[in-house]
Amino acid sequence: MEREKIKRIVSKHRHEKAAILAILHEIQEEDKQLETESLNYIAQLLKIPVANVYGLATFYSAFSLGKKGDTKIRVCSGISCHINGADEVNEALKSKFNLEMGETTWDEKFSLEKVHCLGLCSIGPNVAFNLVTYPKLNKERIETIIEILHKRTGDSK
Amino acid sequence: MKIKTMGDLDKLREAGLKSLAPKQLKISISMSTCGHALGADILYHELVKEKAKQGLKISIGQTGCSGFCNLEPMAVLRLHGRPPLLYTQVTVKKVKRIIQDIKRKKITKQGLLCTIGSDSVSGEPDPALNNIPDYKEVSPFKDQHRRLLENCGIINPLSVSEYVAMEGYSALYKALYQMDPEVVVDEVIQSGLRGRGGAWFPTGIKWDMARKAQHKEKFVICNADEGDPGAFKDRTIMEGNPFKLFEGIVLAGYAIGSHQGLIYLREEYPHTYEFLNDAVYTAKRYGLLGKNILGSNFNFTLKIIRGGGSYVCGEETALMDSLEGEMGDPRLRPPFPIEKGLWERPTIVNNVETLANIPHIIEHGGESYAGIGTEKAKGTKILSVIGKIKQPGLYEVPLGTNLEHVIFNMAGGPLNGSQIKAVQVGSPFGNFLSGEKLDISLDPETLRSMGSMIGSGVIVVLNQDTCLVDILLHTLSFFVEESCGKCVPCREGVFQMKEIMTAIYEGRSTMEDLTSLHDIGGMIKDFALCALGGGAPSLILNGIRDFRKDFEAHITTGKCSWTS
Repeated sequence: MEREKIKRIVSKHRHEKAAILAILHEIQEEDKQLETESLNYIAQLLKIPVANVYGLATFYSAFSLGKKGDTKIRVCSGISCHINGADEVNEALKSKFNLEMGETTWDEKFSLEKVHCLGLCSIGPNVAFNLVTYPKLNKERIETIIEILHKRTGDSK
Repeated sequence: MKIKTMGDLDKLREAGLKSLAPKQLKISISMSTCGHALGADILYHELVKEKAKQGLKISIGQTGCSGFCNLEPMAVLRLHGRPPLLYTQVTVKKVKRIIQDIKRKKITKQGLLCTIGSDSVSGEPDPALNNIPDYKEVSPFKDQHRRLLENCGIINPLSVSEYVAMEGYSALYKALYQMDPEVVVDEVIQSGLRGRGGAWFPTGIKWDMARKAQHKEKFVICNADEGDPGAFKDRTIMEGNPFKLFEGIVLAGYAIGSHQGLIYLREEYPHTYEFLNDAVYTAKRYGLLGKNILGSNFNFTLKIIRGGGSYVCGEETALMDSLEGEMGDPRLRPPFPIEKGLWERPTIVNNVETLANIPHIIEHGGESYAGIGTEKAKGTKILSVIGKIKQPGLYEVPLGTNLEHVIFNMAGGPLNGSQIKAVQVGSPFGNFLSGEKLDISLDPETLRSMGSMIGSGVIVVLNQDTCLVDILLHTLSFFVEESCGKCVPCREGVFQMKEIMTAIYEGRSTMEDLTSLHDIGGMIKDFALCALGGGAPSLILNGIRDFRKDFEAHITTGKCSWTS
C-alpha cells in the first residue's frame, strides 16, 4: 500500500499506539493484505518495534500477510453449523474454488477462510461472502450460489 | 434534541407510545444480522416500493431479532386499536397479501404467530383476534421471563423514544438525580447479580471495589467479544435494544466514578459494529452519552472497539491487552483489573448481558430483582439452545429452571422425534451430559457440583446420530487454534491431545491412547495458565468416561458404533 495512504490512516488515529488494531483493520480492508512494507512503515510511524506490529498481524485471525480475495468467503465452523453439516459445505467450497482454507484464487477474486462462529446458530450452516451471509446451506445450495457468483464475476478456477 | 429534564423524558415517552401504537398501519421488519441473512433487507425495500406504487398509507419500520433467527424475517404489524401482531418467516408475497387483506378489513392468519400484548402498547380485546394467542402463551415465547430481551424484536432498536416508552432511561434518570453512586452499587450488591460471561463473579462486589479504588481515571469495559461458539445472546441484545446496554454501561460508570466506557466487540460481527456506532451517534444527540447526561453533571463517553478475531481476548486481562494494542495474553492476577486494569487504571470488565440487567435493578430495586432465581444465583439467564433441536434460539428463563423443561417443553424436544444422546450445557467447556441425566436445575452451583459449568449459557443438543468422538475432536481443534501460545501446557499439550483424538477418530489408535490422553490431560489441568488451556482436558476426559462406547468403537473399528 502507498505510504501516503498509510500515513493518512495512522494520522487519523492520532499516531496512537493503542489504535493499532483499528489501523491494521483499515489497511487490511483497503489493501486486502498487510504487506511487510506496510508493517515496517506503521512501526516507523508509531515508533514501535516492527516485531510488535508483525506479532499483531499474525496473532489476530482478522489480519493476513497474504492477499485476500475481493470476495472474502468466511465459513462458519461453530458447533451448531458443524452438527448440521458444515463439512459438506466446506468440501463443496474447497473443490469448486480449488482452494484450501486460508488460500486465495490466482486472480485474487475469492479467498476462503474458517471462522469459529458467525453467531447465527439457529440457521446454519452459514457462509459469509463479505458482508452477505448465506444461511441454511447444504452441498446443492452452496454450489448454486457459487455458480451464480462465477457468472457474475467471471471465471476464477 | 437533548433530554435535560423529566419533562423532556415524558415528552419523549409520549412520542414513543405514539410510534408503538400508531394511528395508521405500521409494518416493522426485523433487520438484525440474521434477518439480513434471510432476506429482510429485500423485503424492506420491496415494501417501500410497494408503498410508493400503490400510494399506501402505511409506515414502514424496523425491529431487531427476538432470538429465534429461524423464524426470520419477522414482521410486527401495528393496527390502530389492536395489539401488535407478530408474523414469522415473512416473504414479499406474504406481506402483499397481508396489506391486501387489511384493505378488505381482514386479518391474515397465515404466518401469524401471536399478538404482542405488552402493557404499554396493548389495545382493547378484539373479537377478530379471538383465536390468536398472546405471545406469552405461545411457543417459543411461552414460559420465558423476558427481562433482558423484552424489547428485542418489538421496538425499533435505534429509536430512543420507543425505548423510553418501554421504561427506558428512567433508571438512569433516577440514579443521576436521586441516588448516590454508593447507593447504586448497594442495589447491585443486593440484587445478587453475577457475571453472565461465564465467570459468575458477583457484579456488585466488583463495582464496590472499583468505586473505592482511588484514581482520577477509571474505565468501564463492556465485554462484547462473544466468542463461545453457539452464543449469540449478546449480539441479539446489542442489535435488538442497544440503548438498554448503553444505559447499563452509563450506570456502571456513574456507580464506580468512571467517565469512559469501551465496548470491545468481536470482529466477526461487522453489522453489529456499524449498528452500534449508529446507536452511539443517536445516544449522543439525545444527551444520553457525552457531557451532562440527562441534564445532570455527569459526563460519560462510549467508544466501540473492534477485536481482531481471537477467542482468548474474551478473557478480561487478554481483552485489556488487546485494547492497549497488544497481543491478547492473559495476565497473571493479582493485580486485578479493579486495581490495575486498562492502562493500569481501575477498570471493571462486564459482559453485555450482565450490564443489560442493570437498568432493571436500579428501576425496580435489588431486592425485587432477587425475587427470581435460586438461593445463590439471582435473576434470569439467556440460554442459547442449539443443535439437533426443533426450535433453536434464545430462551430467557429464571436461573434454576429445569433443563428438561427447557429442552422438551420450551424448545420442542429433539429434531424429528429423534432421541437425545447428549446435551452440553456451558459450551465449549461444559461437560456433555448423557440424555438420561437432564433433570437438573440450570444454575452455576448445580452444574459445578456435577463437575461442569453453565458458562455463558450455550446449550448444545445432540441426537442419536451424532458421534461424541467427532464432536469432541471438533471442540479440541477450536481450543488448539485459539490457544494464545503463551504457556506450554496449553500450546503443546492440547495440540498433542488433538493429535491423539484425530488418530482415534480415524481408527489409527489403540486403547493405550486413552491412557495417554489421561496423562497429558492431567498435566495440562495442573499447569495451564488460564481457563482455556485448563478447560480443554476436562471436557475430553469426562467425554471418555461418559461416552466410552463411542471411543471404543472408533478405536476397534475406525468408525462410529451405529454405522455398518
